[in-house]
This record gives sequence, structure tokens and C-alpha cells, in this order.
Amino acid sequence: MGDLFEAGATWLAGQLKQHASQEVTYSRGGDSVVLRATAGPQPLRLTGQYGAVTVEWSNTDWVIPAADLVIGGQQVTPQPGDTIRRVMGGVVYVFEVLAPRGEPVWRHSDAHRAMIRVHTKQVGVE
Amino acid sequence: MPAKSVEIAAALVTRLNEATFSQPVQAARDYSPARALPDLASTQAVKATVVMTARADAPAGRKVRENEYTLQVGIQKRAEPTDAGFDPLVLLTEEVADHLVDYPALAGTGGRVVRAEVLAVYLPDDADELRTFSSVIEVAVRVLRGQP
Repeated sequence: MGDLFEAGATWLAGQLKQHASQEVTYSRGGDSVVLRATAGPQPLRLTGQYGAVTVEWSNTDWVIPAADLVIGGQQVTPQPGDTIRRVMGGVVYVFEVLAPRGEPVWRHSDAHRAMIRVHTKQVGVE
Repeated sequence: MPAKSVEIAAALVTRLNEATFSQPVQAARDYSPARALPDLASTQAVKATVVMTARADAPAGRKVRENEYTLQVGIQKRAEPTDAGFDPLVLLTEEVADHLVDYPALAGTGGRVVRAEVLAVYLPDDADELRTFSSVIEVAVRVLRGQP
């Protein structure tokens, strides 16, 4: 008998991709892939040790089907410096893969490794 | 007539924008200085933010008082925290501090820079989490004024 939880995770990944995701372009260097990803909330943060160098930024986590992250013909995992571009209202928002302090830039999002969660910060608009 | 603190902060901004450093600097003063991460992009000029922090008042003679104004200058730009990425910005921070001490008179304010101390050569947290160079210079400006 198959693993019901694994089947459920696979089904859920498909539903997420089909009904709750946006088209984004994932890039590394000169290579890129267009895939569907689900964005998490974007809480605003401030650094604050010295007033003169306060930085305002927001984290955005993306949930991506692990099998879709194929760059240069190979399935890869996220690396710091990779970028995700998403078009909203005709504006391209650029997110850079950057980890929260002391954490890795990505992790598996489910026990069966069907999805990965990538940590990014918005670094620009184009 | 603006407060002396404001005059001095504005003069510092003018000084930084007019000076020539090893890379372009865009200075501004701000009461609520929160730079958005996209504004610090590596393709843009280094951002310098001037913030007023304190003022001290002390007698300096029978009819003279000495006011010391303290300000912070933040230097920021996105860069990789590597020798190639950060070394030029550490150099820039030293250039700014040296410049303020080498040319102490702040035109139109009656003030003179008496100290420029680099409080933070760079902030490790910003380097690690934001891939951003942030340094802080504390500047003390002294003004003598007559006592009524």
C-alpha cells in the first residue's frame, strides 16, 4: 500500500501550483527558468543599531516545486545571489535569494521534498 | 532662522555632496532615515545620511559659551561582503572622516569640526543578512557664542 501522506503532499503541491501561484523568472547568472511559485507574506523590517544607517526591507518566501527548478538542464537548489523576478501591474519586482541571519537560504517545505521554500528580499524594481 | 543643529546638518550635507571622494556620494539629512533596500543598489551612488543626535552647552570663558553638536553620518551601499566588495567602502568611510577633519570650518554656521570618529567600520548584521555595507561616523562640531 502506498504512502497516503506522500500522495497527499504531491496532490497538494499540484493544487498549490495550479491555483495559488504566479509565474516568475528564476535566474542564476545568465541562465533562467520560468516557473510557477507561491509567494508568502512580505513583512516589513527595519535594522536599527544606529539611526543613520537604518534599512527598511521585506522578506518574501517563495514555495516552488523542487522538480521545476531546472537551470542549464539540471535540477538545482537555490543559492545566495540567485534572483526571482515577478511582474505585478506592469512593474518587474526583483527579489534576491538572501537568508534570514543564521539560516540557510532554502529548505524543504514538506516531508517528502516535493516543494522547497526559498528566502528572498526585494532588492529592486525594473 | 533655522536651529543651529539644522544649519550644521545642512552644511555637512553640502560639504559631502561637493567633495570629491574615490566614488560618488549622495548625501541627505533626514529625521526618519530608513533607506529602502532597493535604494542602496550597487549600481547607484553611495548613500550618506546625516542625522542630528545631540547638543551640549558649556561655559568657555567669562562671556563665551561653547556648544558642541553631535551628528552621525551613515554610509551605505549594497555590496558583496568580500575584500573586493567592502574594501573600497571602508576606504570611502575613512576618506569622509578625514575630509571633515582636514577642512573643519563649516561655511555659514560658525562651527568647526573637532572630531570625526568612525563608530562602526561596518555592521556585520547588515553585511550578513542584507549584503549591504553600512558604516557610521560620529561628527562633533563646536560653536562658540557670546553670552548675554
